[in-house]
Amino acid sequence: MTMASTLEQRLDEFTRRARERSEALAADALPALAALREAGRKTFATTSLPGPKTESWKYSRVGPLLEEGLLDRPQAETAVPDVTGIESFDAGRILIVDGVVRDLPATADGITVTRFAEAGAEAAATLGRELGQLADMSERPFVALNSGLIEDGVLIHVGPDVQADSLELVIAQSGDAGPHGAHPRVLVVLETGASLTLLERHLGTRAVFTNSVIEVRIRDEARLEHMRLQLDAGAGRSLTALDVAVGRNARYDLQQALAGSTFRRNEIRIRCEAPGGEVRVGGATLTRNRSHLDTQMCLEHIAPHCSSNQVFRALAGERSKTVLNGRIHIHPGAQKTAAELSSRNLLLSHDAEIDTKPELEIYADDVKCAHGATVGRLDERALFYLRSRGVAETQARMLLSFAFLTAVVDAFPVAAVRDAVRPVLEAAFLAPAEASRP
Amino acid sequence: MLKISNLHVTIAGETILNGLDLEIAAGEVHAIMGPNGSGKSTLAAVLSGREGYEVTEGSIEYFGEDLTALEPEERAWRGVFLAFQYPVEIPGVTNMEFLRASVDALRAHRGEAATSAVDFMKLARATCKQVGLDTDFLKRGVNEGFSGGEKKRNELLQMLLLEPKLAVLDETDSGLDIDALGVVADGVNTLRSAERAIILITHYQRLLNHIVPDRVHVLSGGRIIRSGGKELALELEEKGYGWLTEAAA
Repeated sequence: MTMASTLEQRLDEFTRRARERSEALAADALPALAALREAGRKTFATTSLPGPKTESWKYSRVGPLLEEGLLDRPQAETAVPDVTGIESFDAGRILIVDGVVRDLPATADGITVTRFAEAGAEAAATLGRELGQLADMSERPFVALNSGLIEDGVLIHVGPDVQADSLELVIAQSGDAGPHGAHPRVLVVLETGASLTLLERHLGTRAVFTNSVIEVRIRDEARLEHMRLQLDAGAGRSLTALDVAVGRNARYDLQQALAGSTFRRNEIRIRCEAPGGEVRVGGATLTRNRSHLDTQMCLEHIAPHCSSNQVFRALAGERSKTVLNGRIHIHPGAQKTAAELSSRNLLLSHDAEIDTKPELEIYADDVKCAHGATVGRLDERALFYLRSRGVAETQARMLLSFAFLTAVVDAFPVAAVRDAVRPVLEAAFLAPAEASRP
Repeated sequence: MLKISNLHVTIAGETILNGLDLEIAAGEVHAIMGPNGSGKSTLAAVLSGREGYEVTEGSIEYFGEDLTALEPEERAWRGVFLAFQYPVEIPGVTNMEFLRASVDALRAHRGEAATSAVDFMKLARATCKQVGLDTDFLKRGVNEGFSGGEKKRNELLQMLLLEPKLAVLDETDSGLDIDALGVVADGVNTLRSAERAIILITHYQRLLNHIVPDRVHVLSGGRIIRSGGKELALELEEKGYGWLTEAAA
């Protein structure tokens, strides 16, 4: 590909190479994987990659994903990077490096954490039932791509009424990785009454395409605390689809701390499928320099008597771009739904861009739905107040900016993680701006 | 300590201070009174370094240094403190966090080590008691949801912790009930010392019953039109400002 080729040519080339890579895969022994791969390949072949006119990709151009080598398979033997965990957060670690499952924790009775490829009879049955059921491929060519290229993945299964220990899912790049495309796939199933705390961390700053798909099934009365950290800025091209189904009286809590990178996009779809479901989502984000961060949030209220509360706080500096599309879809019959979304954003520079778009679709008449979005700058009066008390301007700006993020960072359910997030964000905030390239 | 000479200040092109002269020595308490719109708060703002105020003529010397050339935080490091007329609410930053950042910033400038968390907590609690604020206020966001009186007490709390050399109180007495006024006055009086100067900007004479000033100045039309001893305040209370402003016009 040369720079002169049109976007259309590059999209075509990408599609052709994706098909080649998919067709070159060895036949899979596991029927669930074979079926998913086949479906993914077919869907991908018939779905156009998003172009400039695709509404949901309006603020995220696919260019950085189409670059040379980003469909290549990762090298076979790569060094395992340093993925040192969070101090005093004790969790069994699932490690995926360049899309390859490298390490799995030992687990207690009632919990299964296994590679798809090594699934026992029961896990294989769960895969057969659940894999690909939530991550809808239509209109989502990259989910189809992940499916079409699937070779392995990780199943986390927590049995009925099992209160599992914490787990950590690390999606990392190897330190010596050349350009490639990795397609991690994770399926989480919490059976009735189960509970789990899951920390998901994405690591790596290299120009690698990481196209993850995570499916989560939370059955009745079950509870998942999900924390997501994507704090590495840099050249990573990261696209993560997260599809969650919340059962009767089940609870899903997703708290995120995110930094931008060359390309980062999170597509999150949460379905409240049965009455009494409770969803809480938080996102504290910081983009700097020329980084990009796009969150496509979709809350599907299908059943009545469910609640969802979403709080997003974003700081955007330099020439960075933060996108939040917050869709709340209340289906007919989802009466007594209480859905809230608050998106507050601070521009730290005149050149930064924040695109925050509320999208409400309501087909039930007895619901409470609130949606608020603001974009502003730091309060000059507060800044002066702090400076008049001897707090230097840089520190004053940081105090005020973090005051803004506090509502979300404080919502992290695990203190050790909350305490680890803040200094990382602070360091990222205080780092000098990169010299902008001409 | 402070020497203001022929100070002219404009805001968005409009002249507010128009040839103000004022000299204050260490150890003195000066009251600045005057009708609304006379430029009292502008003087406070200019001394603290608020943006948007342009000094077009004249000078402000503070310990022989050109104060107008300094950033707000640099003034604070050198001992200038402004008690705000309208203290700012900062949700998300706790009062404790704010106070400690301020105290440590000033200590760092004096070449002193940062306070330990335990020592600072003790000091902050004791000072809270002194100004009549419950220690719960330390955990709340800066001025967040505080009543008018609580905000003023919080200003006093900061002043006592920061131990300024030059304290400017901009209508700290406004909106206070008589008990709160007594607390504020007691706080200011404990700060009075031979090394410190205090400027009280006020509308009313009643504060001066509690804090007896060395000098009283009347500000009108952006200039000081009359200066005198503490008895001038009583005269103003009785006669209002009219007789002075008319005479000056």
